[in-house]
Amino acid sequence: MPPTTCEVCKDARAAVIRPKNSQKICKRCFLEVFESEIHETIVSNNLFYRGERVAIGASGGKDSTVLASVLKTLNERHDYGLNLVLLSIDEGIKGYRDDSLETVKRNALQYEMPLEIVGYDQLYGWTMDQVVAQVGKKGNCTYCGVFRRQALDRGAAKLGIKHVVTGHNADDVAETVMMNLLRGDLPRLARATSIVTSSAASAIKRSKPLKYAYEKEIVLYAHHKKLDYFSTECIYSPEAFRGSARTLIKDLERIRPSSILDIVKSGEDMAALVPPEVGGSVSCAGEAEEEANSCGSRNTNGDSMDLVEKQLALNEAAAERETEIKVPTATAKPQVTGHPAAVSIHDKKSNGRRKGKIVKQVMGQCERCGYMSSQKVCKACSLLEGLNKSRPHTSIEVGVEDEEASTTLMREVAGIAISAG
Amino acid sequence: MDDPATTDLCVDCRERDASLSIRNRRLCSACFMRYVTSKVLKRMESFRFKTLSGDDRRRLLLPVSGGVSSLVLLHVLDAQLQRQIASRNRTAYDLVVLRVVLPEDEGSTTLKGDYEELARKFSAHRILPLLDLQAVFKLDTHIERDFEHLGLRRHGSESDESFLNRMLSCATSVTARADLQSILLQRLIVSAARQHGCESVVWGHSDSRLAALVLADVAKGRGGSVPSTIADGPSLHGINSNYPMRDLFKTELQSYAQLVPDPLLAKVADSGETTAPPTAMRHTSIDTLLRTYIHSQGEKYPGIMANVVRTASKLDGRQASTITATCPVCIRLIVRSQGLLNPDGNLCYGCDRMRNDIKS
Ligand SMILES: [Zn+2]
Ligand SMILES: [Zn+2]
Ligand SMILES: [Zn+2]
Ligand SMILES: [Zn+2]
Repeated sequence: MPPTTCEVCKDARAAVIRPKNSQKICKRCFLEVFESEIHETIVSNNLFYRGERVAIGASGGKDSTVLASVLKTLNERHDYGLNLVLLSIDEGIKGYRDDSLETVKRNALQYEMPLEIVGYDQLYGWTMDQVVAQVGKKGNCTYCGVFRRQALDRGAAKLGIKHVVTGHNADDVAETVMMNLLRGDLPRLARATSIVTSSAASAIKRSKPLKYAYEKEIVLYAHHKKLDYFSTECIYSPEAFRGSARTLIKDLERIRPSSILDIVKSGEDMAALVPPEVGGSVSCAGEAEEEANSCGSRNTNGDSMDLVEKQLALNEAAAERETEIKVPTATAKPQVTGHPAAVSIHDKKSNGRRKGKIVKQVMGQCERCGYMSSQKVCKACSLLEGLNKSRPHTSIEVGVEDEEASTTLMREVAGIAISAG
Repeated sequence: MDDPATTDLCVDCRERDASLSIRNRRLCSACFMRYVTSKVLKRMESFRFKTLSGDDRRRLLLPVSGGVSSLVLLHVLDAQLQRQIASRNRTAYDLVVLRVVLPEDEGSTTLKGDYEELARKFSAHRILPLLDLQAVFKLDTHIERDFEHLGLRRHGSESDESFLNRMLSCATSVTARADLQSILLQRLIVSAARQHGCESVVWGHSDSRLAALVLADVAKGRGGSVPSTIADGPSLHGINSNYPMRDLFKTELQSYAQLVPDPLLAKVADSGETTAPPTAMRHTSIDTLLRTYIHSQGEKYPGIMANVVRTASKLDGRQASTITATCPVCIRLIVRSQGLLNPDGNLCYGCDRMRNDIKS
């Protein structure tokens, strides 16, 4: 088969098939189009201002490494006037971060960026190893998830930086959209799709410049730019809802590679259709997931989907019992039970009667640490309180402060189409 | 808990032995049938006598697909209308039944006979003759103009049938073809409803089917259309949509069909996902993938899959700020939310995406 010519420059040999539009392009055109699309994302969303100090959440993985590299390139090429800093979190798990932190250290030299490594011991007074020693292996996933979610924000605050950028890519966003649809959580679905997430209560702004970038293209970019990154094989399998969404998205991508961006677009549009009274609340389905655990080690299969399924079945049974009392005959009278199962579509009036199934959450600040929280004391602080009292924690209140987990590190990248030759 | 072997009584009537487990409740078959009927009729509330004014004759179009869901719906509504005749000597509405013959039905040896049998059994209602999909070009006066947005135009004296076949063969992916066909089907059914003076189309979609449609919309970039896909009430077509089976799972409808002593229902009771032969991913459409997904996940997580529709129902298509126009192809609202993915031109994102897979 003769080599295909690049569809852009019509000159060089095509080396990349773009998943979003099946375009076959050469290596140089690919690097250029990849960078210019991220530039467009940055400019059209007004992500930065001149002179801004921006912390790049750096894990040493491919996403954050590509993000750092591209931001450095664009900052120079387009004179953004940004003050970029690499921010890494050390969870304090012996051996787990060693290699990735070494990678970040090399990146700091390669990109001539200052690097700040903030440890859990500095942020929380406990390393993960110490937490595990305290509460045992079973409960530590809860701590891991809650602490990790806050760590970047807390680390940035420590450095006096108000803007953290993360390497979340289009695949992450698509997965989170599907996942939250499955677990019935529209507020989180909406949050996942917005490129900037910040709250009046939090001083830290978060954004994801790679939101429209395919994971496959990120890998290709890192490959062709010969970037130095650390490919972690996560020791954890994903939480059940995320796992189900991930499998689904992989299948969809196989049928139609553009699906990833199509789902991102769907998520953006659905976010615009979430009514205000739903937008500020968190459904019970979402909370159950948190209580199971957020990173879920391989051997704990008593997973969140089972928990939610059981809860929904209980709700259903309760609604049925109400129905029995109210509607004894086949010709049903109109009835609205308090349960969502019986709430007719678009029936706003019934919202108020859902007996607390939908809980309005008012965001405020944790009275201990000032982190945004729907509770008086944020999750991390209440976990810490438990730890500090030297006893394991029993029940955890769930707020809305968690962002979607960046899962690309954990995702294997398979079947990347390179070389049309 | 009591030993089920000794005390397996129906939890509803507490008289008869239970024979089915429905959403974790043990029911006898009589109570289960009542359960199905009441779930459907609850969703038919807006078509009661009470809501009639004067001599209004309300007509509802019920499209049957040959599948179990629409046939169960017809069965339940027919029984309701018979009861109304018995007690009041008139009905609150008239049913008009339609069956569209799709390209894949061609060569079916049983379709015609089955439909004739249906027409005999439900002769109290208006049973329209079989309608080919290409009838859409006659009944929908705008469709040819609208489909020019997809680059699809009739060649000179091309017949409706060859125009349709050429149109579908222009799709370069299974998904685009399925998408195109479902838009044609939808537009045909709505046009038929208009032609026969029906105020509403009552669809046989089960909860499972609606869940699959929601996920498929999302996967195809049609997330903004989700409210129009599943909402009861007015649509942009000018004809209402109603989904009276939205509270029932496909598996429950199959159980119902098995229990009713009716050969027509018995024939379709086992039809469904389970019989679909496994095909290679690339020959699968996104719609089929998600139907299979909902079906397979629904075995373990029926509640979660049912919750998808409930969740999606909270989306409000009337959030006017982001809605700009109606898509001329799918006749749904175009949502132009913030973001970089809004297409140029006047199609919605999903139809624009579909157009990329149409090479005319
Ligand atoms: Zn080139
Ligand atoms: Zn706190
Ligand atoms: Zn019974
Ligand atoms: Zn459209």
